[in-house]
Amino acid sequence: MSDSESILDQIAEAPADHYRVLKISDLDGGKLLELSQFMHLSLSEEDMLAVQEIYKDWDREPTDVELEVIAQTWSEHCKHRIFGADIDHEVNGEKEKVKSLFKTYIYDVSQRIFDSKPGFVLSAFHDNAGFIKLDDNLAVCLKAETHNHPSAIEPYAGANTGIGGVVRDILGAGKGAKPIASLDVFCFGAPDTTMDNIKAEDVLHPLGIMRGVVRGVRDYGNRMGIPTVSGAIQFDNSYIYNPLVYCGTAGLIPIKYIDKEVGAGMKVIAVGGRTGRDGLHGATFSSAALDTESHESDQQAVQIGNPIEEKKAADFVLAARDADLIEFITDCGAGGYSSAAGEMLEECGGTINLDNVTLKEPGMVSWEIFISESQERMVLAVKEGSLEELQKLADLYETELIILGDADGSGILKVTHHGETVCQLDCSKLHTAPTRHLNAKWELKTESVDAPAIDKGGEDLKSLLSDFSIVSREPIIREYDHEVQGNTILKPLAGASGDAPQDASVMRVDGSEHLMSMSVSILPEWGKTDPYAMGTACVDECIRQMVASGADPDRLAILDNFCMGNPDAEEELGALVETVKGIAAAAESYGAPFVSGKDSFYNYFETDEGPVSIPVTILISGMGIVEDASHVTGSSLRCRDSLIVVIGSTESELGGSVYARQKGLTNATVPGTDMDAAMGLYRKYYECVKQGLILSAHDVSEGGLAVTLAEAAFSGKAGLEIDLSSLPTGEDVSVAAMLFGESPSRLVVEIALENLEKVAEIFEGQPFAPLGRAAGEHSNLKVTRGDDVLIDEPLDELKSLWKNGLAQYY
Amino acid sequence: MRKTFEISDRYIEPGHADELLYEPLGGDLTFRRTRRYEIEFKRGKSKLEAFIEKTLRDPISQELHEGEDPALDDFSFVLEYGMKPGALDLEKEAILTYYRGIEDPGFELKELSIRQRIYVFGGGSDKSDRFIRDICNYAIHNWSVIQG
Amino acid sequence: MEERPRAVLLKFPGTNCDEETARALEVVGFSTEIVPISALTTEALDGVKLVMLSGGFSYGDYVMSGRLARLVTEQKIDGALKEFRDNGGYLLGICNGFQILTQLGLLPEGSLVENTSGRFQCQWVKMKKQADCPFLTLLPDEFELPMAHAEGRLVTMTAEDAEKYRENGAAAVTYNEDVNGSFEHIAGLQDETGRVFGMMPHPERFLYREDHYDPDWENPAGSDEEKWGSGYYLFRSLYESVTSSN
Repeated sequence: MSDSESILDQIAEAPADHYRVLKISDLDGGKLLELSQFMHLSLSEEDMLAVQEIYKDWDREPTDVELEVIAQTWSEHCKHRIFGADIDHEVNGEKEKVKSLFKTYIYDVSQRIFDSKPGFVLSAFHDNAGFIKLDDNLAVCLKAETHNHPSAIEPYAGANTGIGGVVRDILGAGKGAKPIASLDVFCFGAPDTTMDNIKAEDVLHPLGIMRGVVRGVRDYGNRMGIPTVSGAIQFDNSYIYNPLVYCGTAGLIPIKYIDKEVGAGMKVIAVGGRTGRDGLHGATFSSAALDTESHESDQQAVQIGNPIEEKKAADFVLAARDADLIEFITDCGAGGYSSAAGEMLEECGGTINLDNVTLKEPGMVSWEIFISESQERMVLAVKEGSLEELQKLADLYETELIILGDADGSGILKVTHHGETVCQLDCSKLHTAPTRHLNAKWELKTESVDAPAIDKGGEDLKSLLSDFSIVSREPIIREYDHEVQGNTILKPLAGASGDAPQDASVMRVDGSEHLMSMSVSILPEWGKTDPYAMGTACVDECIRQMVASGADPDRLAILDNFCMGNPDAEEELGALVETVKGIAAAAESYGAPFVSGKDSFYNYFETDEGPVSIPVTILISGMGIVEDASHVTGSSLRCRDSLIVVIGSTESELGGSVYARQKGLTNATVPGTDMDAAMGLYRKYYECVKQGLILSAHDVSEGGLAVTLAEAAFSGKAGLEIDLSSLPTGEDVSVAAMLFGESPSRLVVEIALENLEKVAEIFEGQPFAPLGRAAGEHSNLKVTRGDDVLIDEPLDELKSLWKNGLAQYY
Repeated sequence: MRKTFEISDRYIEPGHADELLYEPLGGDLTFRRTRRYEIEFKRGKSKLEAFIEKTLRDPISQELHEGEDPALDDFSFVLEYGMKPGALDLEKEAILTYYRGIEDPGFELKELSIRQRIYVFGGGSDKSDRFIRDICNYAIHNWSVIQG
Repeated sequence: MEERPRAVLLKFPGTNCDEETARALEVVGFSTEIVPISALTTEALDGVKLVMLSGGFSYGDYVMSGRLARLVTEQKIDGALKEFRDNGGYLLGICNGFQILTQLGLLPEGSLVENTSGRFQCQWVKMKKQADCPFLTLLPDEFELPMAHAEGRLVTMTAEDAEKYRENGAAAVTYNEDVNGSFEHIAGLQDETGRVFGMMPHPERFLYREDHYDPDWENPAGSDEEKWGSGYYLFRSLYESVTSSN
């Protein structure tokens, strides 16, 4: 550190005030690394040596602008280099080699599914978001991002720039998609964490993070007019230092506007906010671990979003798209103009003139302007002849339009500033970072444990319904406008009393007969002991929720968003590899392709008591097509004398469940997912949906069957009389597992009495059984097994526990 | 010239101070919020005052308190905070954008600073650190405390 | 074919309920044009029967909801909206539109301030008609609509003013319960002419029956009208008032 100040000065030749040429050809590895650290490039010694080689081939020295551009391009955030690494993996003693997790388990798997469903996925992986076909004219897309590190430092700003960023992803998907719904998923420490349990200085309390993040999402999402319809929150102490904030947005586009191309002779323009020093080094920042110091020194990285600026840009983009004035568009996210222009010009090449950029402050040097991540900017390629009309639209919607440069077909990205060329790079070199080599290891340590006997089932249920992982998210959901745009048919809170939980959300789509279902699944508790099972169960739950809501099980697509701690720690990377294998196996079995994904690494923190990593956490979010509005199915009990049936088999494993955690059962075996069997069930369920045989359906997840039944009955329509004697189960299933186990692939379904025969016939030979009925004569949840009364509790008491659990904190 | 004033809400009841904190203090501490504006300007004092009345104050629901001293009385302490230089203040941005769009404002706005004030009542004057910790964030804010 | 009455929907930077509100107007029979405020001129109101101010966050509503929208509107067209009303035109403001109409002085004096909860509240509310109002004629005495706002608490200079609005029919619609601290539970106000009406809840979000949170919601108008939600009847009432007052 001591002489690092001089490293840049030692090698800099200063042709002008605004940029410098850096003599790196003579530096050794150590000095190169020093330079990388001094410039905050987040490039390893190996990377820097590779850069040096490139410039030796070119027989010249880089400019500071070029080094910044390469760092941005190669940074973890932009290229997901760990997902492309060669990994030596060892699982339960067996060795294997993985050449690129992404290629092997995400891309190739999805390609096989695309091939089996021609015409369904219209675009995946190469654009800002993947598109699936809604009908002959329209497509929908979904993208999710994380904004973890900024949210740890300033939760409000971190969350609102997080949502702002993912909305721009959608605006930059195809030739501009219209954002129609958002999802938000968070992982925090428990809101009742005491201050002395936070073992580092200047770490924000989980409650402060939660409040800040929720308000950040609220103030940005609500102002943008995008309904926040879907979400989840996990509370676990491992997230105290590294909270996770996932923001996702779905978009709608006419299919004819999906393909885009930059051609020589086009103009490159930008619209939206101005460029300032506020947005420097975000991309490289999120590729490094947090420590107390980063809370003090990285203040520069904290930006606050301006939703109205983005709303004006969005209005402009959608109007320009509809007037067919856009040839190519992308968002200005991590890496700023350098990655937006890099993406746009990587094949075509062209010139960007930084003199045309409107600045928030004077005196910015070339590299600052080019990589600044100032918010609310979009970059477009347009025909020169369209400029006049575009300027009119910019005036109409009161957003600033600047001409950045030209695409010229040279294949070279050239940047000029004050009349000089400050960067000249062969674009094909920009996107080839060296492959990393990593080691991973995972050993399954779970064991079968004896299930506790159930003597006070009602008390167990109450304690589950009061658990932070299960209590109603109502106080937060109501802060989000989840009905703007007027298309939220299945709302996050619904049922006869309007406050019961729903599994998926369903959006009507303007101009289509079809609707879109959205859902999320995140089960970090499972992954602590069995990451593979977490992977399969997450995909299963996400899909099951959409299917339950009425989506066609054969027209679903999913996203994978990973967060993990330290990828250089073998065990942690091993858990990641196993998770990826799990989601891949499930995606393939269900025929639900990945169409987009993103990863966040280095979510670990150096506390006073050593490093704390988050558990490997996968968020699976999904979108699916609901064929007809009459198929939309909620999760809440609707009638008084209907039948309650269960679909799917209950197994003995208790691992990963909220019940197991409450009872202190550690390392209990986590349930596996029988994916082929599950898909068979979902297709049969869908058959019932199409025939109008389903009144309501709720997926069995956190808290198990008992919590699912209670939640369904929170609509207040009736009590429930349930007998578990005929519950379809595997072998040796304890009463505890029947009530509170979380085996995947199960649904609790309400049907009319007169339809039982038809439904039973459809499920012939499958794990399916009527369990009881909605009781008009009382308003208790009564669960028996033969003559044994396991639970008999008034629903209003249960509901009040569930409904008020979070209210006292938010 | 400089003009300083504070705007308070007539109808917003004091809230329980624990709402602002991560860990409840208990007790009967309450709080109210106000906004304090500092304007540096040239020319046209009366035009500026009209601008303020029209733009910043709602005559039905708000009261405008002129000058430097705190608008409310009998407080234990006031936590005053705002966006530090370089951090985006959305209200300020909105006001300045509107001001720049006025054809002939009749005055020249040189500088505008907006500060949030949280008045805490009912004791706890030694607890201001807790409020700072849970309300302010040095990543975007700067702040000061006025003891009652 | 009969010519549709024309509606103009004013769009400010931050207006975000424009499309679904325009959809609702179209469904009941209006021909609707969304006009960004930058393009607004007095002439744009020629031949127009309804000026619609929809929900959203005009200019971010950072100063006070609706305040900057009012000032910019006055800059653009000065008193043209008052003139429009005096010449028989209708004005409807929903949510942020209600806030703007209030700021513009087109409704009985009042102000929409922060909810007593201090929060944004996205929820459904039951409401009651309290007076004859051309915007509500086809609605039953009690109905339900979704609301979504942080600043929807109607306050007046004195508590008596609000009571007076209840007595003289200005308070055309009230919440059944205290949802946001509004004086006299007032949810919406009309002016003396009955042609200007503003309300916090969102009828455009309950255009269709399926928009209701309860899949078993029954339309009190009976099965012939099964397709529609309560919001439809508000816009349809307005349409009938506009077309019959020609």
